[in-house]
Amino acid sequence: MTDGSRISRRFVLTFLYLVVLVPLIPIILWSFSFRWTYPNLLPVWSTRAWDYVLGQHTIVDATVTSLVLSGVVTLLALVIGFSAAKALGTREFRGKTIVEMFILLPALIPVISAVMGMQGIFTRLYLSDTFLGVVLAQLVFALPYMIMGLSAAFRNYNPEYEQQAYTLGADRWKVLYHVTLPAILPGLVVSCLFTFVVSWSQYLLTVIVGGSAVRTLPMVLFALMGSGDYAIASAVSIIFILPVLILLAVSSKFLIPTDPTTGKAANR
Amino acid sequence: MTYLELKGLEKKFDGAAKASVDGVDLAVDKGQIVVLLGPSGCGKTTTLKMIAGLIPTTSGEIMLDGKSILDVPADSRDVSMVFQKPLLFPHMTVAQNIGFGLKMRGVKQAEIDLKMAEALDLVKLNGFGKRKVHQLSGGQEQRVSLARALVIEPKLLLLDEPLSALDAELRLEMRELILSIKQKLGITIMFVTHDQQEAVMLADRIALMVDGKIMQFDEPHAFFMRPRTRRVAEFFGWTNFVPAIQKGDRVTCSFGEFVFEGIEAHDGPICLTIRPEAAVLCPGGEGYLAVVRRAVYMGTRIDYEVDCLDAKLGISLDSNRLYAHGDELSFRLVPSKMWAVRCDDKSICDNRVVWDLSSPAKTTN
Repeated sequence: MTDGSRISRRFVLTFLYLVVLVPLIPIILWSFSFRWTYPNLLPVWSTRAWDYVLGQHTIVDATVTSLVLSGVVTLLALVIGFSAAKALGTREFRGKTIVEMFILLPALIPVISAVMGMQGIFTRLYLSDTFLGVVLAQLVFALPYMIMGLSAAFRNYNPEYEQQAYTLGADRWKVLYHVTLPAILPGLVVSCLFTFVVSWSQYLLTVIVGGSAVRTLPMVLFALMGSGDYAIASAVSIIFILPVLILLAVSSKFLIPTDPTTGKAANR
Repeated sequence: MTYLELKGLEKKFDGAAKASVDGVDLAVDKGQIVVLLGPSGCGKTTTLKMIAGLIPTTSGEIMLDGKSILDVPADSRDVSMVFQKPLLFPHMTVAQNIGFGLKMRGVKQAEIDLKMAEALDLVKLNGFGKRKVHQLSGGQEQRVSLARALVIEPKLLLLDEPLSALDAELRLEMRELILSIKQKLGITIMFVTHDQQEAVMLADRIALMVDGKIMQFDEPHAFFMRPRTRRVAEFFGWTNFVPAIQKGDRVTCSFGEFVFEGIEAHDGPICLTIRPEAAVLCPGGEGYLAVVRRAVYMGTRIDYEVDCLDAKLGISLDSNRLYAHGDELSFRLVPSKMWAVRCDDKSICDNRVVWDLSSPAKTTN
């Protein structure tokens, strides 16, 4: 790689980091403020918001609920979407575009236009106001992201590797574990991350289907924002964005393309 | 003794108009290399994958070592396969790739290491174990793939055009390697290729496959000496086809009468086939008189298309003398380079020269 492209890549990366991180700065400042009024450049410091937020059972509980909910949704989407994604990514068949469109449909339709009908059916099935109901409802809107992401990963995957592994004595599960999963791991991690974030930031669906029974972090966040306390809303916002950032950091080694000659992360 | 036997093997893919593999019968002895030879799309790879258990059969039977293996899944058939691409698992080292089959069988790591080193030695890649897959050249990759298939000591080794992605020199080297491995291990090999020369070099027996059917299953030289049908002859460089009549072992046509010892008995129309090398110049003029239509200079030889009697012939002559378009020449035919073949589906054999005298730019007329 030439020095020129290295510098320009570094510049782009820095720019992207700034775009993501700069808006967070005021929020961080707000969360540690007691008061922050006009001519002052910096707020009057206080840990009041954090004391309140971390002392609240509802917020801690909601964080746990959100983590479990999004985790379950992601896992189920992975299990359900895997075969579909593989077929879409590795095979050509008649009507493939139509199938892809149907799979993508939930991601294109505004949640609000689907959720009312959904709620009616879920009530009849005794699924409304239950954790399972919320999981199922979210799954509908999370699956397109999982399937589309995974099928992109499968597009560069040669299914002949599996045939090769069979002839060497690996059964289906061993092939999946030793051959298929390692081959698509980067794409799989990204798809899971995407799906997790989609589920994590879902508000409307959870409120309507889950009612008061399933209280997730976005619901608490909205409630606190409505109260007009910027400091507390900022603190909750940080809690809200933190798991996503942590996941991003953990999975970043899969997101950065590796240099095929050394196997190490490229451009470091 | 028959080791692998295919009986009426058939594969018809869903929605396909006709069977890709159409009633293949084949018997392979232990320790032999049988080459499935045929043009692309003739069903040879499909046949191989059915033997490996990767594609279900439509009908027919596959017997290996006296037992039917149709109900045995691919991962327990002990039939390993090397594909056209090396297909080395990219996230594993060379050693891990070779050890994969043994690991799947639950072999202990110490034993795997031992066998892995042996296998690397076999394919002449000693010390390559720790390398990453992407550090290998194309030829090395295919050799690792071969070692990986051999290390599990399969009952049968299937090779699906494993050399077609390599350049000419490497291909030759790999053929030698495969032959030496076969000698050393006494392993039974089924090799698929579309390259006639490769088939002849490697095979104990060749099965020529066209349109899902075996046209002829024979020793390599038989395809050059006594092809059975016109299709087989065309595939093995028999150039000229002249309508003739067979009675017993005598074949008569406008070029005279020829006796072919050992030819399949048949009475009626047949196709006399003549190799281009069968023609020898006889300057005296007592041979067949011909008029040159086209000439292509090939260095040591010159290929001519000539009109002779009522037929068009493609002949190849020594290049001592160059004849041009319209020149007359006289030649005789060497009967050992002639044969008579059935005309497949056509009842009447038309006179045709099936070689293409290259591009018009090369001709001298």
